[in-house]
Amino acid sequence: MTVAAFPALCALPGTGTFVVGSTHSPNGRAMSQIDPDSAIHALSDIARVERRAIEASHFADAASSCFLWAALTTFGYLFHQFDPADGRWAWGVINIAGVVGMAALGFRSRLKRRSGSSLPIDHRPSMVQGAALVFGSVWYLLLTHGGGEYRVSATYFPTIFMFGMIVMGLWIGRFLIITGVVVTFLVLAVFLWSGPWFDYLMALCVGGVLAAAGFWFRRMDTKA
Amino acid sequence: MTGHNEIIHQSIRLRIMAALNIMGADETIVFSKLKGLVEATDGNLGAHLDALERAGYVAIQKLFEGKRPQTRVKATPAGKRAFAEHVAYLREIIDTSLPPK
Repeated sequence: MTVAAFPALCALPGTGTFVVGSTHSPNGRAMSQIDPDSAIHALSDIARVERRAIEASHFADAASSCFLWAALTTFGYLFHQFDPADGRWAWGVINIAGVVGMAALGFRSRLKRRSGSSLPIDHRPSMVQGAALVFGSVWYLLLTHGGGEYRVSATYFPTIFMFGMIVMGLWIGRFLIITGVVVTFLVLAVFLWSGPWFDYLMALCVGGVLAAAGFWFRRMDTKA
Repeated sequence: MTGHNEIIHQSIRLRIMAALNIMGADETIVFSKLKGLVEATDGNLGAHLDALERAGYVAIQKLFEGKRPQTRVKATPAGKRAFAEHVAYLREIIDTSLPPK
């Protein structure tokens, strides 16, 4: 059995190659051995690519969620602007549509990866948003007994949603934190100073920023 | 010890298989996105995908999205199996190189 003194290099030019020594078995069939340092390097390379692929899949899911909520919230604020009497119950329908839509997106995502995927399904985003929604709803009902002003509830719940987004940003990426903080400040500014333009400006701030975030995530997903 | 897989071990091909391996059996990835993930140029990625396709490790679909051509790639079951075996082989190398406790 002989061990060649030179590394076996791959035929394709311009690419990195891990160091491999060539060995010949008694029957003359070429076998190769990889040194431990190259094996460590190869495994760390695999881990890095897997991490990037998982990140890209988070970006794709986040983009879909942002587009969904951008459309729903824009519709909700504009609906209330034109029909304030029915606007309150419309928000109930919109929130239910949002939850159903998120479940559908999650289902679609699982369906795509249902077999043969080693990509872990991350339940943390839905758990964070669920916890924030329950926490926010309990305090809202305790403080207003369900009879709070429209402007208060229409400001309060987006900030709760944004709080969830900020928490998710702690592991998904700082862009979520920035989006959450920016929208929260914009929403508070609209609440304090918008006057009769409240619904229009909320549609622009909440819907507009969520749509912009959705495009950013989509771009990051294709670039990842 | 399982064998060393010369086709997969090349660094770009190893990255390609790592990216494809985490996806579902029917899930495909667009060429441009894969290029970003493995940090390769168009020509380089195309050449390595050809090598992996010839080995039966990936399946390449060329379709049209509207009027734009699109190349989609997925790992075959044989490719996923070969990748898993190669990763196990790399781990074995590291384990056997460690001094006994």
